[in-house]
Amino acid sequence: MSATPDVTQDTGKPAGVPEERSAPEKHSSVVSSVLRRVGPQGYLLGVFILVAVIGALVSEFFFTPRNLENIVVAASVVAVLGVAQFIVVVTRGIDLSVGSIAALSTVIAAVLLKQGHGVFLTVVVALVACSFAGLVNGVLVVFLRIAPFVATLAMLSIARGVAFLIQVGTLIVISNQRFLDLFGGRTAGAPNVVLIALLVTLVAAFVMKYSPLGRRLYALGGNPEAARLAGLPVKRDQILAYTTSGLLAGLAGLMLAGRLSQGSSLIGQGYELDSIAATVVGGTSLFGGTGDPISTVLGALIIGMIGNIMNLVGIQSEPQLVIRGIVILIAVFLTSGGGVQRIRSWFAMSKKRKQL
Amino acid sequence: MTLEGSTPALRVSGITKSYPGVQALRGVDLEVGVGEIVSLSGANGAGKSTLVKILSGAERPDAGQIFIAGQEVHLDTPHAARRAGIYTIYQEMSLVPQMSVVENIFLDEFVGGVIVNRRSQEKRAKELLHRLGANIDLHASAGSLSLANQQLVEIAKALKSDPRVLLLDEPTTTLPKRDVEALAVLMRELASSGVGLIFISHRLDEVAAVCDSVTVLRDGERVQHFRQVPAHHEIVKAMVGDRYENSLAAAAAEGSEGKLGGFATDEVALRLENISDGGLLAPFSMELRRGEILGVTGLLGSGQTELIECLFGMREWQSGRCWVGDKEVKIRSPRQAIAAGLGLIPEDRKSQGLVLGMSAQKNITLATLPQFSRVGVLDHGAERRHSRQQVTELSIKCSSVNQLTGTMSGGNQQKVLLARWLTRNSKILILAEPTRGVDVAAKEEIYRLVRGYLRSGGSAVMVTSEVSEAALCDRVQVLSAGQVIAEATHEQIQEQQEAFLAHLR
Repeated sequence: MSATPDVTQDTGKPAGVPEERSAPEKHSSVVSSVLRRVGPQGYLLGVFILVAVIGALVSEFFFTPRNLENIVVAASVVAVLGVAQFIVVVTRGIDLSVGSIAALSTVIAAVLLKQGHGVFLTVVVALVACSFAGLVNGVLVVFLRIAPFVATLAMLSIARGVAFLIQVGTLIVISNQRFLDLFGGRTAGAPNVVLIALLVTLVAAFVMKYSPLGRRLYALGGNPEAARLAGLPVKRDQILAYTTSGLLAGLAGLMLAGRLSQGSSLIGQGYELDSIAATVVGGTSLFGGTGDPISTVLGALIIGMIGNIMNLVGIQSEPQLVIRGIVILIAVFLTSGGGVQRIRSWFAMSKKRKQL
Repeated sequence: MTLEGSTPALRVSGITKSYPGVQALRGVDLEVGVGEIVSLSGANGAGKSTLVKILSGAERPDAGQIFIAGQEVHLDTPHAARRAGIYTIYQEMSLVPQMSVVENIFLDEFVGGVIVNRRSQEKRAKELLHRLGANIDLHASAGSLSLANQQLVEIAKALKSDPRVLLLDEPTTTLPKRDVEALAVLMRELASSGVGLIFISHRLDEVAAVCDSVTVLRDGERVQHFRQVPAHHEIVKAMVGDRYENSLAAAAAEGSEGKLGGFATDEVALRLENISDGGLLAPFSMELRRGEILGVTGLLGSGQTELIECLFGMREWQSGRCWVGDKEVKIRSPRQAIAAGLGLIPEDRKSQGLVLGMSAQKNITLATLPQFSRVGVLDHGAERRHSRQQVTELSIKCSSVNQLTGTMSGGNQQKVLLARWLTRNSKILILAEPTRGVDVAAKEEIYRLVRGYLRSGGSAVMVTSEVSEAALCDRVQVLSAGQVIAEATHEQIQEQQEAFLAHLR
């Protein structure tokens, strides 16, 4: 019995009137039919709006243009890494090396720029090197049959180590103004990193929805054996997914290098976990075959907003970690479908009990 | 047999259950007397599995009542169902393969308590297995047992809690014939000790051999209850309804000759020469003509799996050559096999065939994505139009082409796979146990579609463990230890059925 009022409050509707027998029943059936129609993606949007509303309520600075820009700029790197992670997760894999590969990218860029090479060459070399790291991940997973978790864990260590070896000593400062303009500047008033993240998201979303490759990746994650027996090139596609992940991680690294004006092997620690968090908050199952890039980016934005709100309110960084963890759990509970179903069955149960 | 007027072991009345878009059960009644064996029959999608789920506590009904020995019960969880006295044995067994027989039998008792009393458990396990007349090593791991023995362990596990009703959901599908007979004897014994049994099987001769009465479901309703097991065709008629007339199943049920093929031409569609996998499969040669269907049968483990895997490029060939039409082809991967014009309807459609989390539409077009894309972009409209057309032509039952295949019934899943290869325009289909686990009506549908495929010039190899099914083909080969030990045409089999069956032993 007690479940009904709690849940109704969660969904933002007024609680039913207890003395009228029929009222709460009718009420809960309306709610459950709404719940049925709203899929997990709808919940994600709901969580997004909820967090934004809370932000506006607790701090008058939240909805200022400057603060919103801060959120979006900070989230853009996680968004690109989240898309990288998504492409691998959708194939039933996981890529723990995205943060390290991003660090490697910053160092390669800084070294090349310091040696006086041009921006174009720098960007190309950094991206090719990072794609190669991703390719190695893919080959390890597909041909040596090493579990994705283990293969990319090794790459996490290797990429950061290589970055450290290349940089020789402490961080390298980037002073090439063209590079800093490209990744730290603005175009038509909008920060370039945001535009890059937006472009990556849209391209990824288009590919997943409208290209044969996207369909194949979903099939591969949903049932690898069935995909293989339908004649799909599963090995090639899997390697391609890891390579793309490496490429996007490298791009995220360039964005970081531009923003921080430096290359360092210490950059991007913990980003692998942020990218996974963005993916799962976005409703992607770690068992593969589901989700989409736009939801992942929404996930990254939600996580970014939460951090921002806590900063605005002045919460210390340690409790921030705790709160962030809890919010991630709640978001995943709602978006991955399990939570939606459970709430529905709570309604069904309390309805049945009332009838008895 | 039931005593008139006594309280039944189980009475179900007015059970209704709907899922989004589907009314799975409409007011179903079912009665199982003390010591009675009731067959629950029905086509795929008739509502059997939903009823099983409700009786085992996995799903809750929307309306209706359940009484056990006259007492109303609420089966909210599987645990509650067992406590109330209904125990379900599923088709897919629920043993932990690494654990011993004893540990498996007492698995559900590892819930509370600290210390496991091994000695008393062993004693109980021994008693239970003795009651079943089973001679099984208590300490063997469950995974090392034969399927029949695994099933006995399952039953022992059930008997441990003294159930009033035992529900056996397709227990015989994977069992060899001899073990099926032993199971029937055991079921009779259990019934005479006062347990009510519900038996689900697609094989009507098993139903006739073991059951006292038959309840038939169709489209979520109980359409008929036979107090005594009637003739086969009566049951089939009730299950299939008005689609029954002139059907192959009807012919088979009434004992007359049914035929699947009859469209063979002289043109060679597929020729294999001395193919071997370096293992079980001895150098194997075969010729398949356009429009022909070849049945391959044999006891379990005679090389059928190896043959399918070689044909479809899932297994490496040690030697041999292969021609499709008059072109020699190399088949080293499923991809090459498909490119050569082959299509596979695999034995396990759920794990090998379909992407269950994807819609019917996406499964249908999965092998032909380039066909539905223009300059690298998928044309969703063309996909939808095409799959709608397939759904109509193959009469696939689904709420829309966007229904996830994981929520479709077995027969319809099979049709989705067939649609995939028809879309691909495959010239040769490999059908591995195409009607396993599907009911008579769906079987009929599948035969009809295969016949249409053959008529339009396709060829097929049907690998089946059901001799009667193989006998429907134009030509039949019997495999044993990786070799063809007998071959006969459809006509020869009809004349000398006995002699042909003798090859199987």
